[in-house]
Amino acid sequence: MTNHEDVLRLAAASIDFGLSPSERATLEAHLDTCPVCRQQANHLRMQAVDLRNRSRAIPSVRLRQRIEMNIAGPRPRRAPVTFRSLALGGAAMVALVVGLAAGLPTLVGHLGAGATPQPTTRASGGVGDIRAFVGLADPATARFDANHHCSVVAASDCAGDAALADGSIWLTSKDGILRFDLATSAIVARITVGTSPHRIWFAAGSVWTSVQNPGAVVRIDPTTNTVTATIPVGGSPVGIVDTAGSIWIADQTLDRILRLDPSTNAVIATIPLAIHPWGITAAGGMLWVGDSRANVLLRIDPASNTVAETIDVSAGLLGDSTEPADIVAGLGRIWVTGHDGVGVYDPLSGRLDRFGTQTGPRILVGRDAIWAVGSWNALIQRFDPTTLKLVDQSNLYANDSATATGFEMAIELAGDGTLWIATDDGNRLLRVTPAP
Amino acid sequence: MGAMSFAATKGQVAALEKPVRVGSSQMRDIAAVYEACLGDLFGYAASLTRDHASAEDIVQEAFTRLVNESVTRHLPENPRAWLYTVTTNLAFSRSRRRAVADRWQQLLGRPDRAEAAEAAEATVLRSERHGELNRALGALPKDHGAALLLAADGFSGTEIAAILGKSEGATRNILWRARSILRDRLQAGEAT
Repeated sequence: MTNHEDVLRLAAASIDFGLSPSERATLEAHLDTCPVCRQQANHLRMQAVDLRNRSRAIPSVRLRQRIEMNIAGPRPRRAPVTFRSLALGGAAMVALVVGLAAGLPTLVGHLGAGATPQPTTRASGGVGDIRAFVGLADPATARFDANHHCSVVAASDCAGDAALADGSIWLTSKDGILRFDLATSAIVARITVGTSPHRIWFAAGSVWTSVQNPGAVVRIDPTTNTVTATIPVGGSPVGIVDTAGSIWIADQTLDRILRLDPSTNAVIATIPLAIHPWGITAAGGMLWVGDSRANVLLRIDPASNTVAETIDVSAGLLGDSTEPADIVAGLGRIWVTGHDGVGVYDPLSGRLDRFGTQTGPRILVGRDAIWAVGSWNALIQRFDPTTLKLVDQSNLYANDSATATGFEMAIELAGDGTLWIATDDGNRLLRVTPAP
Repeated sequence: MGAMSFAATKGQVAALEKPVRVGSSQMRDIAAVYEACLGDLFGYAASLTRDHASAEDIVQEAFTRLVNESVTRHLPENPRAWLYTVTTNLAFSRSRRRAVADRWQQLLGRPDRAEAAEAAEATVLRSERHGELNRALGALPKDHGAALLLAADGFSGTEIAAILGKSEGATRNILWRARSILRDRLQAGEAT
């Protein structure tokens, strides 16, 4: 004879635990013959459904900002290609030759083709050990012989953007993506994605890059180093970011934001803008978009796919002296860089700040420090994230023969605290170990 | 099935005092967890504490600890369960501290904080459509309520046991009692 309470215990357990065959047989046999227990068991099941479907408190924007202030790390962004970068391409080619001469011994050392020791330079100013680590040579075309002759991808073809993912640095090049493996210090893959890849971003287990001519978003599987989807979107996609389970793309020429569902690779929303977007980032569950004059910041709500707020920042971000180059979210604030300073917007207080001289265009916002690197002056600067005061600075090429004439640059921070700076100056990837 | 443990260690808590440096790939992993878990985790914490402000503090602390765990060791194998474990422990700890504080307030002859607590709970209930269900949940013993909320958030009985730090047998009993009490209270409410 089965006790009714024992049966209901089994009914409750069946919701949360698997029942053994004998337990299930006992439960079903009893419920078949006992309408009261059957009703009570149904109550328990319905109650579980009600609990699952109950409405819940929703985290506030303020909480999101508080958490992001604690956990948000660097999310460096690159600016879209401008006429200035194209104009500097020729000069950068000259720099390539010089830079290559300096970096080649390192390259040879890493490839085991010679016994030349790695050049190590100690930067002044306390920034740390700055080492010309390796040239961005494409292993498919590079040849390293006894005469130190090699061919590499053109200087303007690389270092437009970089992203750290899966133990590698992923870099944009002229028509594809280079994967530099940190463990082996070697470029282990080159993935052709089309012409002019701009931004590179890691989300939903994939590497994403925006491509122009024609406008598309390309998805790469990092486990196979292959393109798994090319999603035509038209226009000039420049910025990529992810939030709210979607990939968001800023289109510079059609003045819109596209929302892409990574589960289907389909564009599921288009948000028209009244400005020319030049950069996009995500913070506090919201998207932040800057205009080409740094006069306006837009806050876009992913819940409604609409512009939730248009913020006039013309009074304080960068002024008219420089064009915006990068937009980054971190420490609960939005950071907009130019080529001679950084503007900061605090969404909580609405406060605008500006700091830095000869600072930018790339920054990396961390809890310990804010790092800024300048492609036109090869200056690396470290700021206190609380006071925004300059702590120290140094020239990346202080003891190097390379000349700072490049434009494109990207900076990433690895888990061990190493800074990685990709630059088209000398076509190199730099490893910087910050001083403690 | 092997024993699971999602509990944060003292070493991880101590690591909170150290400055952290988070790499971009780690940051993206954490950001993915953050986006995926924040909504449910906050709803869980708010239901558990019946107080939005406390829930916000707890959830923020849980994510801070996740960052430190990732930096000092690695991202937990099951970060969602790990976050729920930390959140549960913080909520229980806060509840115990509050009970002690209330007792001292009473001993000192000061007005207790029941009024403030009720106001905070009313705020939570106003934001929840299923007020009756949530009120009944709030009246359950802490571990009973937590077990039901975890089940509602999709955790299996085995996972709930690991999060609460109890055996599967004890968790099975807790869930049975919790479901039974809740059923009786809701049926009594319907009858009146």
